[in-house]
Amino acid sequence: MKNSKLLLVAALATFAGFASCSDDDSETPVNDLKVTVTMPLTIQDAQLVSGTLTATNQATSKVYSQDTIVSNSLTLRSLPVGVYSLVFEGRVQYTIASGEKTYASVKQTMDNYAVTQSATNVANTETLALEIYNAKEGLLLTEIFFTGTTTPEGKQYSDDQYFKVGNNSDDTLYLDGVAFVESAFLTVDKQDYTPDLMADALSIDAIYVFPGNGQDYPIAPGEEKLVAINAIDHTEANPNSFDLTVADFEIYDESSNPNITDTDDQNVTNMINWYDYSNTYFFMHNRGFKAYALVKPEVKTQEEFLAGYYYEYTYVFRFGEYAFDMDGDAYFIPNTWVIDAVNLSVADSYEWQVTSETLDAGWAHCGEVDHDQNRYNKSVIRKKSGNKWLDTNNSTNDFESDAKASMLK
Amino acid sequence: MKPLIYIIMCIAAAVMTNGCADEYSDYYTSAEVNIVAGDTVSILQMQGTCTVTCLSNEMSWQSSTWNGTTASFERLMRGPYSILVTGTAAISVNGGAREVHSFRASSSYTEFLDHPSSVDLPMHLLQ
Amino acid sequence: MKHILSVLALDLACTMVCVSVRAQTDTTLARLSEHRSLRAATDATRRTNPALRWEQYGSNLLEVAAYYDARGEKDAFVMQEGKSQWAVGGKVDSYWQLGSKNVVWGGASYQQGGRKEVEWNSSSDFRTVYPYVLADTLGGDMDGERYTFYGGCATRLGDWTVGEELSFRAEHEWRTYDPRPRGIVTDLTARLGASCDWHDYRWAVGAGLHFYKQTNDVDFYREAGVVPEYQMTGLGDDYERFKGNNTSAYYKALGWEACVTVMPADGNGAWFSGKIALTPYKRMLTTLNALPLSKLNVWNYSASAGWMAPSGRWYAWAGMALERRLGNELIAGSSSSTEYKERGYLTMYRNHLLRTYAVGGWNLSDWELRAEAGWQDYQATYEFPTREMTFSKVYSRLDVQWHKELKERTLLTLRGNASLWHNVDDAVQMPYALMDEARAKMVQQCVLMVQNSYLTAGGGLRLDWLPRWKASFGIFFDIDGGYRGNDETSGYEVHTSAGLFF
Repeated sequence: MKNSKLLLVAALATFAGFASCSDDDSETPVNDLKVTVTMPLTIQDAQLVSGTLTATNQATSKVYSQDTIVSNSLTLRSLPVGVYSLVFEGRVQYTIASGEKTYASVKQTMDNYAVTQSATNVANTETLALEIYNAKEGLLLTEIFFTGTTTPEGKQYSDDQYFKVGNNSDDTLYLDGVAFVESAFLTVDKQDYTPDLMADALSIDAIYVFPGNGQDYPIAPGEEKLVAINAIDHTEANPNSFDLTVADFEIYDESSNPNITDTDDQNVTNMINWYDYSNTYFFMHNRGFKAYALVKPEVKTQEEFLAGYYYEYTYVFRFGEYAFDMDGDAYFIPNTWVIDAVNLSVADSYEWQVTSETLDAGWAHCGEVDHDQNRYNKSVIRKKSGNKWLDTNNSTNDFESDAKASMLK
Repeated sequence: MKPLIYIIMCIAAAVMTNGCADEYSDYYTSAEVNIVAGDTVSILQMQGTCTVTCLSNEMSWQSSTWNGTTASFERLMRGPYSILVTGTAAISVNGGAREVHSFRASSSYTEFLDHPSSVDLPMHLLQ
Repeated sequence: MKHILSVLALDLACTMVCVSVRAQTDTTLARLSEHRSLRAATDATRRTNPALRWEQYGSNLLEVAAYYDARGEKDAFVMQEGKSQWAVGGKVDSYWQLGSKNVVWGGASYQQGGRKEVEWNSSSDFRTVYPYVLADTLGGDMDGERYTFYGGCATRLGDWTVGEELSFRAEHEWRTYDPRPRGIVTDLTARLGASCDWHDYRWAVGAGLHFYKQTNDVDFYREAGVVPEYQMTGLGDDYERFKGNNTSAYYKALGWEACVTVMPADGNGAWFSGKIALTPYKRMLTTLNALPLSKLNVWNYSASAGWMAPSGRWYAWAGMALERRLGNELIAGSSSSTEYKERGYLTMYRNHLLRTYAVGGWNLSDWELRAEAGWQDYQATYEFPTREMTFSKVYSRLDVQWHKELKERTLLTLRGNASLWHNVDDAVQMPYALMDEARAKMVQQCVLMVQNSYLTAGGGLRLDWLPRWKASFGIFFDIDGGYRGNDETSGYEVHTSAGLFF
């Protein structure tokens, strides 16, 4: 008997300490969700003509949708309580300055929206703000191929980089004096630079200007011009590559190292090098860690630019308990000169935009990780909306990432 | 017998007090994102979307409901965020006429750790 | 007459020699029977306190063996551990009484082996450090080698017994093609224990420390590049901010344990044993200035109480074992200047595995039976995005062992076992809508495997043989095989060993 009591006390005392958190079983009540869309203040007489609201339950993947619009609102009935991804797609009619009515396709999303239970049967309500961007009338970067290709032996080949410039307007434009620039900073390396010019200017480490006297190099509405880093037939060195002798322009550099020189196709017009960081020849970051832009310098000569748009910066590099003062220099392009900017990065390394968010609020990519072996032969290509390129100043939305390079199609 | 009881009680006490030790259950907070303009600019009306993205898990939350120039989030996971605000605003410069512009505001790193949290972001008008 | 006397004398001498050899033979086989019995294996579970090992066996035994183990599955039960595994090695184990006051035990082993088709795991010791492992979508085969040694001593001082024990494991795993994980593990446990006889009972308390370190790197040698490596955080989720290129990390842990046991001094009667242990595993990213990405607190609680009949003729007890894991993830600060400050932690992952059971054993002459039945309950949750997986199983298991002395110097032992684990309840909540195809497939496969019922069956044979010229030394051969299967897959296990015993 003593032994039994002993055991009982010991067992109870020990089990008493084993706290375990028990989760209450939860039911799945339902509630309605009413979503109201609001129109941009920049358009007049906006009216939602049609649209569909879909809600995807993150736990069950079940999709609920509604396309009946009442006073710019859509209501989903009896949604099980939970977390949803909401997507609204539709068409808006509005009045433009001339008094004509026009339409625009709109899309807006809301992630992680929690539909909650209401004790008083009041529906959940939410607002989605629509954005309407008129297609930018001007020059755009329509494709950037920076990853290079791979040889039959599986080695990387980066000499066949190129980019394309497109005319998104209804008028013939001219490339004369327009420049292609590369950002000085990396989207994967965030530093607190002093001074911080980003709100007003883009820091660059290379600028190449299209030649011409004003109307020498036209680009028709909807047309694209191909600019090659090396305008040669790359299939001779790499059968998996392509022929860039068809390029409209080439980036050519005079190298200071006679052992490492650039090639110059005499049949392809060269861009004018106002500045690049390299002592040999320029090439784009083949993992896509920089931003590129088309700009229209408001200075006429290289000398004016180099004299007036240079600056030095400092930052602190920290490693454990050690801190090192670092410095650097770059040139800058005022944001008002920028026609189009595209940030590039990769998901596992992205840290920040290297342009103002007014120039580009997102970023495009090839590959998922730094040194991604699946990035080769891929490009970022601007999407089309109808017969115009999409340009919302957000590369995440505007570009198709991991697209097959157009020269390989 | 007594020593046993004492020993067992000590261990049970240790278990009860340490069973939930080193747990951090302060998961969520509320946050406000305030859009600020320059000294000469008055923001009359705002329409747009504020997107906050948690850098830890890349989950995003959006708010299109503005209380003046403030977007609120009732329940966010505590952590580091990047913020992007895009929309349109009606402004008045130096008390002048109402003008409507598209704008953006952003931050590549903001901490929402406090209860509640808030951040002020400068407005940048799109050209 | 002289001739007859000579023959008688010779006959007597042979008889005396034979008698003396038989006596030693009987003793050696009896030692083997004691050390190899089901009862001894079950009894060992309540003697983790080194002080209680003083009277664990009434006899000495030293074994030196070479062994080969293999496991193979059609589809892996646990994909992170691979579809198949093999190991070949050598080991020494001993339990030896030195005089009337001291008992020592110890052993060492070395093995080489490998695992095939490991998926979604680039770390070693998966069952120790899960869910915080490094993983990629490619996986592959792993090679490995392991060293272990352990040793302990218990000393009787009047009514007191003091014991101490040290065990060490070093393990190295690697792969020779991309992606190339490499894990090096050092695992050291030190235990101290004391017991006191009081009122016919032995009251024992023990404590221990556990030191663990694992370095974990993944390299890519091919020029073409890499695939993303994910810092897994539980139930298929990963730490998005640090995925991709952070392929060098290490785990570090310093844990403790404490145990209490009360058992009759003569070994027969009611007894109770309880143990608690905590090991917090920190995971640090080497490339980010030793950033402490996560801290996994592993709690282990166990308690059992029962009755042991005199001479071990029968025994019965009930018990529980609970493992709780709490995963704390870092809130990392700004990445400016490549330094991420620690801004706090959130306990994002929790799980518990609870097993309650009842065990009964009977010794019937040459037969031993052991029956066990119990309940297993598992729950794992991830805070956000919300993920949850639960299951409950009832199980029963029967072990049978039969041994027979064949002639004077041979002991044959046959073993058989079968168990059934029946899943009675399960639930899963996953944000499949947010997962890519590969991730969703992995999660679904893992959930399917753990929430399935399964049965096991196995058997084994051991042959011990004493040579005529040395009754205290012998040779043994042991083979054991098993089957495990459910509706989705099946697998086998084989263990073979051969060696010498003293």
